[in-house]
Amino acid sequence: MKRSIGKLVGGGLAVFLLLFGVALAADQITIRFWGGWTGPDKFGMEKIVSNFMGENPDIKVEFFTAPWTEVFTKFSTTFGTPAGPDLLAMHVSDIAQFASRGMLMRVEEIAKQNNLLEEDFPPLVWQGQFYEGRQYGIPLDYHPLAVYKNVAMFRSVGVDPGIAFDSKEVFLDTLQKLTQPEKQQYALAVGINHPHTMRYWYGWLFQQEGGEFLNEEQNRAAFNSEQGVAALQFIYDLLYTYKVAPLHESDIDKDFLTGRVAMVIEGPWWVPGVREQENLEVLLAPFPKVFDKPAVWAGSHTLTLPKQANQQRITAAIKLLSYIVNHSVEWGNAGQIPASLRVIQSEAYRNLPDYKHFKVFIDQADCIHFEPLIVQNASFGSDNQMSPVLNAIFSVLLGEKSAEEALDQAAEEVNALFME
Amino acid sequence: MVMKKGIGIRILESPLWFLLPYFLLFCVFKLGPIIANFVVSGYDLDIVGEGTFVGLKNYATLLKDRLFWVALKNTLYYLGLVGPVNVIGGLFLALLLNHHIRGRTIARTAVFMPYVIMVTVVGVLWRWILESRHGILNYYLGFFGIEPVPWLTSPSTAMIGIFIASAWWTIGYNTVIFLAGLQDVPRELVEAAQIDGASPLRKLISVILPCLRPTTFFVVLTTIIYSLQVFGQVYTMTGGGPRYATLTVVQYLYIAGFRLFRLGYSATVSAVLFAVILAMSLGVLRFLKQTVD
Repeated sequence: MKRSIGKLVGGGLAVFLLLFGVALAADQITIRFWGGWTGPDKFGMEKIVSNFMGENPDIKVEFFTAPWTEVFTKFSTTFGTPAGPDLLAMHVSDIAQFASRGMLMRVEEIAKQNNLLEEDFPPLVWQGQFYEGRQYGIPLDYHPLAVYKNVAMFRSVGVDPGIAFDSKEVFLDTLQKLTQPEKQQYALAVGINHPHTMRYWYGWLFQQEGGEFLNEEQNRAAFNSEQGVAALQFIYDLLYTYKVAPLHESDIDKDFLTGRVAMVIEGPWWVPGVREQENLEVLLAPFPKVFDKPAVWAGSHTLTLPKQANQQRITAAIKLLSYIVNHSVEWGNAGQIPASLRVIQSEAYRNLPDYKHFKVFIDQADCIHFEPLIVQNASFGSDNQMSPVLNAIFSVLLGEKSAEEALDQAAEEVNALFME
Repeated sequence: MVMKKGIGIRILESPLWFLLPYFLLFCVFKLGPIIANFVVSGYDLDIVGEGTFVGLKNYATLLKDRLFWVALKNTLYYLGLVGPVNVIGGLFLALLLNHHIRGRTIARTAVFMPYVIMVTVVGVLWRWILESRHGILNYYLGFFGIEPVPWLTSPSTAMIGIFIASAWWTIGYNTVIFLAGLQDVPRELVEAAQIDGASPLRKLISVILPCLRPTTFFVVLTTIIYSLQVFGQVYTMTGGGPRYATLTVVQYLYIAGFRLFRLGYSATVSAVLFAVILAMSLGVLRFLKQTVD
């Protein structure tokens, strides 16, 4: 009798659990979140997404990540179909591409309703979320450039590794001390085929009074100015006049890691990689100020909501978006600077092992410069290997053209893009 | 008396039915997209919206597009480098591997092995090998007193770097095709030439090469087609740089289509490439026909 009751209770329990599981699965909604992270940041985001699902069992997130171009190809081919993403990460410089085509939702109201307010983000980062006066993204992070210094190489030539580069003289003096041609050792990595080369130039362009990339109306090149030429000439001089950077350099990161160069200018995403290097002590400094005022190129990851009709999925995606922005300490640990001031001011973030490095990037928040937030930037931005500006810079660094000649030609090509 | 089969029965029993699965897939995945591509090339088409019919405007734009001509020139340059090496080198390797030498099986495997590797792996691998400072090729060239060559960072050598990687990757395919062709060369003809006292070179020119004509035609044609469609190696090794030195037509249409979302223009580039490939293939066909006649 007892055995029969036991069987009955056991069976009932099994049926209950089965039905409960089925009911739970039926209520669960699946959303897709796509991003273009392929380094350590990918694992950081996976962890955040996994935590979100743990706290929200009613939402299943399918997280997909691949190189950005592939993500956008996939997005463009799935847009308007049920196979598209519900939450899509991109760079601020990509917003215009998709917003201008009506592919993204406006998020002003969503931001307010979810307490994602302007005052909780660095002002310049927040401003980067707008296209033609309308907001399409919520900032996830921002990434200006900074100088990574090989402490041992600095010490070997008697230079204080903590030195701040706040004038051209100090910067050049340090570069010359660190260069030892007889040992094939150079002070700085500049590169010859890397988008960063254009980003260095971009920062030095904006460091000068009157230095602008485009005119005020954002419809004509302004970079072939005296300031643009001076910034490019400065990079050329690093290679050919002062000879403090290697020529034909193809891998700036490897050159730094192998001790060929004492400094490399990189983004915060590189911090976790450097952390893993044995016997390499690194100290960071803000992007060198060699002209009138501090300025640095920066990018920013932003979270956007592709347009769709399924309100249930939109709600779930907003919930995920809000969670990611507010729980981005892990994102910071993966080498990105969270955009949320609440996060970077939190104790958990300040206790991160690499906080002293991240602080160098955070301190530059007031002088960051994004690339133009317009559709045409896809054609001439630093991310596009075919960019006329990027190639103009390469042609100068290869010794093929003068800075003035190269920038004039690039300006002509950029202006032609505005005429199309 | 033999009963004549009805036309219906004859159609049902036709061996052509065996080709149906292939033709269905061919129409859906090849012929259809090719036709659609020509249609799209007449539109100003973006990733959203239905597009606007613009007739031949995209073709007119193409004629004035400096980067397209750079890409076409680079692609033909690549073909000029890879074509002869892959065809003549492939034949040479096949002749070598057709001999009864020790370790022939291992050698055959080694020659064909790179071809089974994915193009992305090939690209990354050769980017390391050709790296100017840390690359293994420059390291070994250093033993001969050769200064480090900026293989992928100088506009004058970047395409040569792509060519070296591509030749290593694809030459094994041509070798295997030639090897298969060599098995069909009639032994009695080779033996007769030997008895007549023909030198190895004479045997090659007068007996082997004429017998290999259909194989050579196939190899030349496929090498032209694949070379004009080069993309993966460029995408992973140089991205089309430095200074557009390795920008190829397929890379260019990829950027136009999937980076700038100019789908109509991208289709136009593709249509022109199709025409170039077709013209070159017909030229080769005609040339080989004339040599046979």
